[in-house]
Amino acid sequence: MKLDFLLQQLISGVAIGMAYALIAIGYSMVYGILKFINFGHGAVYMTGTYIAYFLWIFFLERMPLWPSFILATLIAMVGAAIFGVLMEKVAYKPTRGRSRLTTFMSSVGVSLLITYGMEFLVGPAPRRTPALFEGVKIYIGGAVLTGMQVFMFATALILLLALQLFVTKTRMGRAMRACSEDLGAAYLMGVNADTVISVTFAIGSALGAVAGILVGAYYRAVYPTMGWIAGLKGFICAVAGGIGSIPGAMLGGLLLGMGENLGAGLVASGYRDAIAFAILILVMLFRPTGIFARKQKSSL
Amino acid sequence: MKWFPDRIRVLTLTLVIALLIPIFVRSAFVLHVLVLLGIWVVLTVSLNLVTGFAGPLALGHAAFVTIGAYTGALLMLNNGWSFWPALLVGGLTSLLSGLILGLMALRLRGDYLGMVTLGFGEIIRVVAINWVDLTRGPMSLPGIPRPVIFGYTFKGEVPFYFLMLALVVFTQVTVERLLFSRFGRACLAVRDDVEAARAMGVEDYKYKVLAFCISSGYAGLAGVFYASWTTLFSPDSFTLTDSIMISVMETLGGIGSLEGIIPGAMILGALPELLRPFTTGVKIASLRLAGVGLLMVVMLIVRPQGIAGMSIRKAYISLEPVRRLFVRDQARIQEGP
Repeated sequence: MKLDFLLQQLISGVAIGMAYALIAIGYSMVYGILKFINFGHGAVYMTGTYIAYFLWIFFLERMPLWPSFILATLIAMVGAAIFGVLMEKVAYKPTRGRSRLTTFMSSVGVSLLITYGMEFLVGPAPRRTPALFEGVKIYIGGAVLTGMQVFMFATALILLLALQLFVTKTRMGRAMRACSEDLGAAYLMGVNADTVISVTFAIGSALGAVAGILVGAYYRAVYPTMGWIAGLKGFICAVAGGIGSIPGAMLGGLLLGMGENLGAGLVASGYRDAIAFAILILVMLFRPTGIFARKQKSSL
Repeated sequence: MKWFPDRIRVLTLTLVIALLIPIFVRSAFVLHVLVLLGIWVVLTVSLNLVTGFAGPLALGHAAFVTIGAYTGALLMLNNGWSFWPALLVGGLTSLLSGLILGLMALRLRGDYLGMVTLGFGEIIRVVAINWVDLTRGPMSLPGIPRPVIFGYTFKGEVPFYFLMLALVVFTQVTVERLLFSRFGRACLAVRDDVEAARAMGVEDYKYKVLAFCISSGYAGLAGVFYASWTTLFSPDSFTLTDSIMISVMETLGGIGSLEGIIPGAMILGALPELLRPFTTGVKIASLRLAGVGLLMVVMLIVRPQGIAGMSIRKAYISLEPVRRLFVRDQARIQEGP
């Protein structure tokens, strides 16, 4: 009984952890290149989710469940990507060259503006999403796996693998790695830093939107302030796995997802978020370069 | 310090105006807003001690307000303490929590520290919500007593306004005295050039931790005051958005400026109350926060030195001593972080 319960918690943790990993990518890649924490990422995640949600509801009247979901998600990815790039151009680029704290504070302002601007537009009440995989359940030992959990895990894994391939195999990926190594030197070598930064924001925001709609469909609720905690958790994963690394973000996500679920199961479910932040503080104290980081120099 | 006579003059004038307000203003609502503004001023001035003068970015001020308020309120409600010792212990508890968090977190750099303090704020909120046996969680803590002194209860708006004013003056004066002391000079040195400060034998970590825990102590005092004034405290009274709000007030006033901070806090603190007659409910809350976010971005891009820097030439040409006072301070701001 007890063992089954733990197994159940771990499985749920793995599923939600992969979604956190998708959010973490947005922090990790931006940090890798611009060396600042993009606090506005949580707001982009929320915006992407809302775009997907409204489109999904709109398409659902005209086509079956799955095509409408996929179409809505794809359009939301593009929408969030444009949104993320715009955000960088408007709010962050003017502060480039000043202290990183200025950019960070600016991103906190952006986050407030978008989150509460959205709350003003759509109202604070959570909206219920349509159900995916209604009633699909897989039994492993005593634990139950829902179809949504499997789908969330698989989608996130595929996207993360695709991203890893993109970063290691393509020309743009190489430019990104060069920029994250040394932005100034890459610029001198003819890499168009502005384009690379825009692409970075676009990818991070698009993945954030996917994570958002997955989490929204998993908990079957979207609400304007969902980006606060989700964004902070994405950040925790990015830090735990070693900021700037894609496999690190995935491992960080799994660690956080399982850690907070186990903690919530063992202590009390209300303490879930507190456990997540306790993990952050512990990681910062003992392994500030990330638990899974090997050779990176400290980013602190 | 050379500019002291000018500073004293300006501050005395402000204080006299503040003391005269209750004579002319009879509206309970306005006085209520002024008391709340006092809370914001105390929080902003005390946070400025950390972000403005010692350097590190902290986004967890609301957590210390919550800790102080709950400690004070619970001591009064459960143990029958009177307001004053509860105020003291509330402040000290926040100070100690600040010390513990500061010792752990202040080795981190810039934005990482911001995230950790923000996370700490969330931990405190989640604990306050879930520890129902102690805090009554989301049901909030009602019936917190008002301060009593020699049998006199500070019940109405006017007496509490004066009490609040006393706290504001206490905060401003002590923060200023701290800044012009050895401690303050060390903080400024750390903020302006850590390496040079270290080379001169200033232990930056020690001064950052000190500034952080002292500032948390003020937040605790403000928390007990707030709880006693509203007679009600809940885990959502001061949250993450309030912590950010305090930072925005600071940015608006000019981070690290002694003069701009108070108007910065008052303008932003009064804004929602001024808008209240025109709209209602949730809409206004979200609009206010969205506006605050926009203001923050615009200020950081256009005027990172805050309103004090902005208004020097235009507004103070005829007030020569005041102008000189502002200009001197602005020179310091521009060398800042």
